[in-house]
Amino acid sequence: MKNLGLVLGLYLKSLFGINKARFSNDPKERRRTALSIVMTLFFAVYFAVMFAGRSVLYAQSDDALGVFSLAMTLGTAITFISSMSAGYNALFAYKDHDILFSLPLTQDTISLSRLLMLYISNLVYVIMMLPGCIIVCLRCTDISWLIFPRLLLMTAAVPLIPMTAGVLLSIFIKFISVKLKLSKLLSIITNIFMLAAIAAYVMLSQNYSLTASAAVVESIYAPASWFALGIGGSAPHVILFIISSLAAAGILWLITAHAYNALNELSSVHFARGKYNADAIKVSPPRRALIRREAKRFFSSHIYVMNTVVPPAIAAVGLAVLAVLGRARILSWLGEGAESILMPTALLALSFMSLMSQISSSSVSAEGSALWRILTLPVKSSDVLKAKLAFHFIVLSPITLAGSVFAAIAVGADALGVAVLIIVPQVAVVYCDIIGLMMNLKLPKLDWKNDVEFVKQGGSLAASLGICVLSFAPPLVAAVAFSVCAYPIALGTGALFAAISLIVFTRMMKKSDRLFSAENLM
Amino acid sequence: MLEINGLTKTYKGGKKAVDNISLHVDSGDIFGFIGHNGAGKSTTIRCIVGVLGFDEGDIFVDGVSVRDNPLEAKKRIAYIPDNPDIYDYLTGIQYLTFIADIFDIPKSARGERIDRYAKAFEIEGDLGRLISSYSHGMKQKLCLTGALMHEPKLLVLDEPFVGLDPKSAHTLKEFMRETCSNGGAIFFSTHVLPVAETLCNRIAVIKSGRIIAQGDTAKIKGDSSLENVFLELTEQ
Repeated sequence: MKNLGLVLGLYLKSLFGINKARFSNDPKERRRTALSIVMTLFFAVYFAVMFAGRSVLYAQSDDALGVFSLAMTLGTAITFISSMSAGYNALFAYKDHDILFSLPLTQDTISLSRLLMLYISNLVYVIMMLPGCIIVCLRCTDISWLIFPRLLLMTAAVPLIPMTAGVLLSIFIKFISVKLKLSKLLSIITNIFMLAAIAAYVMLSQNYSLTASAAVVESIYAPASWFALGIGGSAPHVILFIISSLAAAGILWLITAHAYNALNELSSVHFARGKYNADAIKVSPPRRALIRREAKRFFSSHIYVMNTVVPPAIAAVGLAVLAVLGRARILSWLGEGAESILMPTALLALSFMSLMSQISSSSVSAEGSALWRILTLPVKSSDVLKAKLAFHFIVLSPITLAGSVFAAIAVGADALGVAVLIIVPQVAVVYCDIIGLMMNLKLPKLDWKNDVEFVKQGGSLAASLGICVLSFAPPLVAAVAFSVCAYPIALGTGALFAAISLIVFTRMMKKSDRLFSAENLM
Repeated sequence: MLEINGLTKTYKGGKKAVDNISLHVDSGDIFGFIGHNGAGKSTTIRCIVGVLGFDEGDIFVDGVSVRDNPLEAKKRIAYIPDNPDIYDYLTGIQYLTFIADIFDIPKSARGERIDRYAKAFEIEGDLGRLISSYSHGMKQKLCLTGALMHEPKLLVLDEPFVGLDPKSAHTLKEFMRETCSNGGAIFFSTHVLPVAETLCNRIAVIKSGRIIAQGDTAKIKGDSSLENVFLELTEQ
């Protein structure tokens, strides 16, 4: 157990870059760590508040206890998908593999430490659901306070079963992908599961009451019903839920601990020789070569793609559905008085989606330890940065444009409305692109060990998101609130942020040699 | 081919990694740069190839100032670091194509040069695979192929023989001699003193950021071995 504590402590030190910030003389490290923590807390609070807001509605109904099932279901789904996506890498892809296994540590200890890290990261998602449940408890006087110990105990156990299922599935899929030589199979299947989960959630919440939704989930996933009954006061179901969760985790640990090397071997790629096709020797001008390099980097990482392109793509699909359903149907859902806010609301949603899609804010970090390569080539720093900006725009602009067109059809926009719905979100794409790159030049993270670190945990992402959303969104919110002046506000916002983007871009290019240099980045 | 005049580099926090060093490398020279760990070798090399800026002095590559005209200087240089981290997400051939595009190697020459160097280092059968699947030595060989492919005037190598099998190390030495006989020059750092002794016609010894000896290898080592001379010099 002492060794387990040592190895786990080693991994915990890497969380948020805390140890680096503690011992580094570089103030940038500390700023980066602080930003990562702040933004993680921000998003945790944000989702907790969103869920809590929904819980208030259910607290007023007879379905009050059902919010606990909802929380458990959401936590389970998120944990399952997250474990399926990251489980294999969490067990086998650490760079310290050789070093750790050469030490007098048992496989049990090493695999348990990694599973615990995975559990801790998944527990964060589940804990975010707690505030909503607590609000229900506070508002419903007929719920006993004894529910809290049960709630906390059972919440701690929620991630265990889906984590087990997710990790074992990820190992299996990895094994199949090696056999079939389909390296992206795991990411493809993870994406499919995620889309299916979102679709299921939307369908259930739109078509069923909470009680009926809970019943559907409980019929598919037995632990959900044990959880609901346990929260309701049934001690045997509390015990059943906790024991089954611990048993699942125990099985996972036993399998990974005792078959670690066999599993690692089975799911490792053994490469045959790979002669190249002479047609692969294409000729491109240096600038196109730089953009192609960005593209290859981006599409090589399913984490990068999933976290940047998939959400706006899903949004565009959703808007296409709304376009098919039509303005009249949408107005019938939203009720009277919604007509005037339809266009500005669509604009806000489109722009928000563009601002949340951050490709350039991780593009400098993506250079990683290969930064020396581009720094020693005879290319201008400004050209390298332009390639990063161009790639972000090339990928996101068409998706945003498609969303704009569908939104314009859905809300029945007039000619001016169509122009606003197209132009302003495109300005948002450009603004987010430039701010994201600027933030990444100021807060790069080059020492990452896996893609999750530089895509999701970088300080630049947090800073860019914060600046983009907090600056661009308020005027558009004002356009919704004062819908009579929506068009002038929207167009004025577009013009203002286009000007800001141009100014920031010009300054970035002027200082590109200093910004994109080893001294600034390392 | 390479002229360093009064190079000084101080890192944040006040550590002077390189202190007023001057040296020159003529065409045809194979110049060995040796020193203990932390002496300033890698910092000097990184200043030459344009990764790091420097506080004082200047560096000229084939008469082009690295400070004033970095792009032109980089066109004349090929650099291989001691740890060749390159793009795991590319295949070998994609990496070489990228380098060829940056250096504007004409299409007519590309295939032939890639073939020549990849065959010499015995990686032509692996260029279709992702770099993530390469061993350290294979990445090293790929970097060397990419470096030699654009026929640089100055080859700057940081511990080039680490990770190379004996045959590839021999091949690299042959290419180094060929570069020199074609009017180029080699500047490399190494801890392997017997290699420096046999390969380099000129060497410099750096200690704590300062050059403590430089000149013809034969004159510096005299009747002793380079190892003994190095130990004497660095213990003073």
